[in-house]
Amino acid sequence: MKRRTVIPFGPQHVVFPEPIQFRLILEEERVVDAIPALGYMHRGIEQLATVKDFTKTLYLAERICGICSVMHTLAYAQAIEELMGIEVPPRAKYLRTIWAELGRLQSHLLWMGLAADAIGYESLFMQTWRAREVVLEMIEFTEGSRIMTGSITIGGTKRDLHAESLEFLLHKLEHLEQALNDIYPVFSDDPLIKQRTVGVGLLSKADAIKLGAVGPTARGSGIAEDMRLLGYAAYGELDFQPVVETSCDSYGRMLVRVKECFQSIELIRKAIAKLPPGEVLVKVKGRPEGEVIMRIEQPRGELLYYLKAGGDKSLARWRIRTPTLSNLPPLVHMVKGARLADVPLITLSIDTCIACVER
Amino acid sequence: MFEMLATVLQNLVAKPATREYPAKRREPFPTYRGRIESLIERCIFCLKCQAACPANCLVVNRKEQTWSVDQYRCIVCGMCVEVCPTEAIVMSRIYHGPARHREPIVTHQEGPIPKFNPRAKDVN
Ligand code: SF4
Ligand code: SF4
Repeated sequence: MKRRTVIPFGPQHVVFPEPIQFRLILEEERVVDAIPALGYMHRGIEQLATVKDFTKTLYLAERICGICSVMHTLAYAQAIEELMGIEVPPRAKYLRTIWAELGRLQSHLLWMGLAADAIGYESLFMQTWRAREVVLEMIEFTEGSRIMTGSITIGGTKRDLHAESLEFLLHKLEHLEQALNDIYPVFSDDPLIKQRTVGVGLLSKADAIKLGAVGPTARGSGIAEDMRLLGYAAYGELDFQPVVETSCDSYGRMLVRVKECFQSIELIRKAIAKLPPGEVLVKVKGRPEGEVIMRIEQPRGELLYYLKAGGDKSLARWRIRTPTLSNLPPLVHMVKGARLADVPLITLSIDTCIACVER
Repeated sequence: MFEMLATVLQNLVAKPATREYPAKRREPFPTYRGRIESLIERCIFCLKCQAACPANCLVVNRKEQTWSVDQYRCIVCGMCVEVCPTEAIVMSRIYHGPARHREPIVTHQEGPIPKFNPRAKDVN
């Protein structure tokens, strides 16, 4: 047997925006096993929800993770609405869809920038983040804040989009599409990026199913799985197909994200074209009671909420399963057999969000 | 390769994509949710805002007629603005700036507490 070495990868590492550790077991240059160590960012949010008012927990949900703040509020609001039997006005559903897609855009662009940076492309990193700034401006203009938007609430949305905001959105989307058209060929064709990603971090379709991969990680392995197809918010009325790549490697997962940016732009345009008139908020009275499971598609994959309420002012149990947690077993599988130098990019390719995982 | 050269040359002559902060600032959008401010003369000390605040950063004291907010805990969610019956809290467009000390901002009301007339709300 060859000599084995253990290398701690993280908790502080340049590719991780947040702390997580992998203990990499190496035989010479090859990784033979990886042991993830979690728990650096635990904040006890689930527990806090059992003492806080359920309407205030909405703001807690938003603060689970900065990047998916819209998605968490959306999931929480939908879960409570299902518990209490509230029918959300159609206009609010469309607004939620628009905001969710804007959130997905900024998250994917953030990831693309980080990936470019990890590969060593400073200028590409800056170009993607310049494009992201356009998205953030759209979010700020329509929702009132850049990250913690607080625009979705139980029973609908807090804000409405007027003709001026819609025009602003359409105008900025044009800009963004142009910028993405410039960026896309670099990600898809550049020989250096291809060298770092093609054939690296392999996850076959069968393994992806077996290990429970979700989101772009699953779609990069040829599984057409997308929670938006469940038709929550207005997704049921906007005709779309999930983006699927069959190359099963980091390259495939990267392309899924880049292509999903274009898809999001299309979805926002469709939603704006179909935006029905009317109210955006219904009054919420009473307290939730019962159990519910809510699944929505975050930028990183399927987010699952389990809510249990006993008619009190706070929830009895709030269980969150985030996409990165589901994607950790596939990640451990991917790094096995990889070279040590490829590990940063492979870990990045599932788009880890540790704040979500540990809450 | 040559494509990249073109980009490099273009970027050499083009003006920077970033703003020269703080000399040039972008004004916040009119819809921006900035820090909250109190119009204390309207306040009737009903404590509704204190109860609604998810960050527990408001302290309203009816006896001393003071209303205080810890701007560093405030998450600018706007709940207090929504629940206030007399519209005594407004959201400015200003982001909360840096400070040396972390202290709540206390506003004090002079004179008697105004009478609340629910129908008068729409008039102003
Ligand atoms: S904006 Fe929100 S957090 Fe800030 S004082 Fe009002 S209710 Fe509290
Ligand atoms: S809700 Fe308005 S009137 Fe009531 S205490 Fe707060 S600021 Fe004063």
